[in-house]
Amino acid sequence: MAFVPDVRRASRLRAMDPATVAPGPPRAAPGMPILEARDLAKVYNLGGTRVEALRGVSLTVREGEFVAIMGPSGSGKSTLLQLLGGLDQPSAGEVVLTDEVLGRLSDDELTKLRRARTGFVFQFFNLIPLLDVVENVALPFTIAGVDSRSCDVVARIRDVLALVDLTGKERHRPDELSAGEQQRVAIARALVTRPALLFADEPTGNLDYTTGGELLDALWRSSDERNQTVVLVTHNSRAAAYADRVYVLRDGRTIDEIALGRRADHDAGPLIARLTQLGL
Amino acid sequence: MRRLSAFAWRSLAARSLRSVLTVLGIAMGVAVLFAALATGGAVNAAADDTVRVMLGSADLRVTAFTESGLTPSTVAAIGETPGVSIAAPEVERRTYLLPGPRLDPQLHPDNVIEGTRLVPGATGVVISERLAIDDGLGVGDELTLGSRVDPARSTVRITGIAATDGRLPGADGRFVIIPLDLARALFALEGVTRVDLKIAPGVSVAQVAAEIEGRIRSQPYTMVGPAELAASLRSATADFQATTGLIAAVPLFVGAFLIYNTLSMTIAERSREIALLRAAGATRRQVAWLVVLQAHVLGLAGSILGVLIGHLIAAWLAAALAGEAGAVGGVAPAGPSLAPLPIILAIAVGLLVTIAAALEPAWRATRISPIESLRRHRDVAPVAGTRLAWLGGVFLVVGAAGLFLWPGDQAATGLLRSFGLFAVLLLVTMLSPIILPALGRAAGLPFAAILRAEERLARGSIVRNPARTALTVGALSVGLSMVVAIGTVAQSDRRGAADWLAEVVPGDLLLTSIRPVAAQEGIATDLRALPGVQLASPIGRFDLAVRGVRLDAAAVSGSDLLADGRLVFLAGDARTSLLELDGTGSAILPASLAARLSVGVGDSLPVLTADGGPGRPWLGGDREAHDPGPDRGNRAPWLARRHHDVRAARRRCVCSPIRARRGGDCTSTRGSGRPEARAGAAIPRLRARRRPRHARSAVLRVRPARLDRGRHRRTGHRQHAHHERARARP
Repeated sequence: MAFVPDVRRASRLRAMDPATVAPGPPRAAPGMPILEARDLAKVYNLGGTRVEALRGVSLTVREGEFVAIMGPSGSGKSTLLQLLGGLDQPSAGEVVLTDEVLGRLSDDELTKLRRARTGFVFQFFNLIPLLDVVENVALPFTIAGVDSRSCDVVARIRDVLALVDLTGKERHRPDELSAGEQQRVAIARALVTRPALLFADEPTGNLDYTTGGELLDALWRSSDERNQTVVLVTHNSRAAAYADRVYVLRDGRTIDEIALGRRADHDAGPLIARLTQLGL
Repeated sequence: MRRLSAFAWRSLAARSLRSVLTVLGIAMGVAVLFAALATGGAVNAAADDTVRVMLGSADLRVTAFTESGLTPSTVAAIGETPGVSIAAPEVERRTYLLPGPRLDPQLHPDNVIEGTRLVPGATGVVISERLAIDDGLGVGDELTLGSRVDPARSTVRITGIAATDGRLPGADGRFVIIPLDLARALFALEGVTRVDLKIAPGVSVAQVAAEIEGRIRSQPYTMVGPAELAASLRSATADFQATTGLIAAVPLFVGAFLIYNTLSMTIAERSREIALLRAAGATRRQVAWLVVLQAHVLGLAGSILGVLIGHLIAAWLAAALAGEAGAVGGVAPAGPSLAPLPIILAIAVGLLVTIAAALEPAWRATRISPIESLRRHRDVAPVAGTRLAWLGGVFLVVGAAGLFLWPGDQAATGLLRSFGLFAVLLLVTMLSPIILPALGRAAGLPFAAILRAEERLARGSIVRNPARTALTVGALSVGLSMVVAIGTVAQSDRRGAADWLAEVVPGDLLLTSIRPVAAQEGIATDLRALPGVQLASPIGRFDLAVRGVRLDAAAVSGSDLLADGRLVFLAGDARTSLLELDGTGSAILPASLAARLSVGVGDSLPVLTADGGPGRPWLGGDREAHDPGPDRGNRAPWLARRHHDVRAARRRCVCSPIRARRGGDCTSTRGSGRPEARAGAAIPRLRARRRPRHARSAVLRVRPARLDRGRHRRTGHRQHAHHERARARP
């Protein structure tokens, strides 16, 4: 039961009783691929130098999965995330997100698809300093033109803030929050629309060990309890150990796909052992 | 969009000082623009008011072209024209106490506020309220009018005081209304200055005008209606309005730059937030809307504040101009009114400029990629090429506007020089990103010795963003050039008037009489007898009709000009031409007028003389037989029809045929181009050359005339007042 805050739907939503709000477009059936990357390549020309960031990467993410993309710095994992999330266009290959080939969409269509079906969490908290916690979390609704004071939206915001353990901090501004709290606000904002996919780019990269753990727990809970599909980019094996599957990248290529399965203990041992075998 | 707009509001509020300064910048531009519009409106309203006072309810005014006026037979012919219901003859003359326009009670509403109005057969006079206040006069007092013709009748009793709510250009509110027969007696006139006509219902003004043209063939005249008169007065204020508009352009440009700068900086600082919005699903249109909305808010606030400030400026300007009766094209504007059109126009221009300035930043904001939000460091590097292109565009627009506004009668070399300068300015601005480091180092040298760290920081700040600095340099250059242009134009105007005096009038003082002075009266001899006066050279000013075009003319002493030697001749022999001036039938023309009339040295020039007959002066040099002029009977109606052309021609031509070098100076012509000034156009002038030092005080008591622009007409009034008091004292 996903909520898609596109404008047409939002206008309908305003006219309806929140209790009878219809879900968004049907999510893929359990276990069905929700995201596919086919032979993705990305080439940059930097000052006349040709840099191949990705060289034919393919992957599949199924609904409800928690997938991590790992690799050393410069392996192309952030570039891959940008292509998967529709933030950038590949030089070759294609991305299929919930049956939509992103390369065939116009900028406006892509923007609306992003708004409706994805959520992003970035390394650098990316909150809007002028807005308080609730307003930051409600930003996707604001952009979509949905009244953020409606009962349904308020309930969603309250729910998602509880999920990231920020209840009681609703009216705080970003500069009044700790780094971990700010990142949790970012997660809440990404989850509030109940997107089909949540992309997280090094969300713990700027956090200490304990805070990073709390944040990963929040992501795990969203996936485990709410069947949220999560794609996590990280170079941290401890973070990657939360995932069901791990794609390992090096020099713009997928060098391994490690299936860890869903585990509540998030033991990083098996993953580290495999990465050691790979020389990482 | 609506919900997102709160974000725009907060963004402005977060940088309140910058926002306030930007609003003030826009307000400054809009204020000057509104003041210009409101003052222009007040000037136009004053022109209409003047027409109302001058013409009353008359539909047509027939004015004598020559000093002798319209003869009784002409007046009778006009009065008997079919369709004319009222024909009110009037005489207007300046004297020691001005007998102003005789406001016919049938055409003008009864505006006598004290005493009784003039009725047929009345012996008393009505004076204006201003005159009564200024000179402490009241009903029952006696008043002596200046007249050498009939001194016995020159003392009259005041029977009424008229309101001076209307504005009569040139009269400064000081006028005396006297019976027509008394005016004729005092000034030894047989004819009248003009006849105001009321057209009968059902008859068109054009029909009556055509009928009059057919009937009056014996003497020249001009014919105008209220609309033409209003247009004529309004055209006389066009320069003032154009100048104020140009002045308004400078702060508007500065305001536009402030808006651009504010939005650019906001976008540079918030590029990651904008990227975040894009990543979260904001479309490019939404992002552009955010920027334009911010500009809207700033522009609207600035425009509204500007209108309020502009109203105060306009009120101050009106108060200042009120003291300068006739300073603006012959009319004195009343206080500005908050009319809706100037308000709407000023706000619209303010918003338009704001939005135009916001377009490039808005476009740049839409180009911010969502990937920006993933980066650790914000990429605030400006799009240098775009910014310089924008700057080049502004320069081109300003250049095109300058080309459009460039006076057509100015020399092409001036245009080329100006555009050369403009090109250099543009080049320097475009190159400034390259030369800035070196320039910054050079400029910082004096400070580096004592403030080493600060100097490096400041220099780094300048060169950190060369495109932005170039933009600032460019904006300052454009603004400065506009200020310089305005100053140059104003100075050129003043210099033109001063040059006229310097080049043409050989004397040190110019004394202007308020009435025609005959040579036999011996005033020139009296002046020559004054201690310290070396030379007193008479000048006669009068109107001239050449090929149906009215021109200002002056009769001067050729030998005096020759002795002075200041007049520069472009063609013909100076000595021969000037000596022929003292003979008969020769004329000297300014180059621009000669070009317009397509005449050269030796050509004949048919003109209308004071008696309405064709005179035939030739241009100085070879004397030769000339063709007889066109039938004079056809000339007068043609003149009437071409009234506007006549005015336009007068504004282009020089004020005196003796001015040979500087064409296009209309400083002095405009005043005499108005009807009330035309009536007293044949005013002889006496030039007095003074001996240095010891004689100065004696001559200065007569108050020297000043020909600088804007004070020219006022000088006449002051001079008049001085004479009035001087003569009344004994």
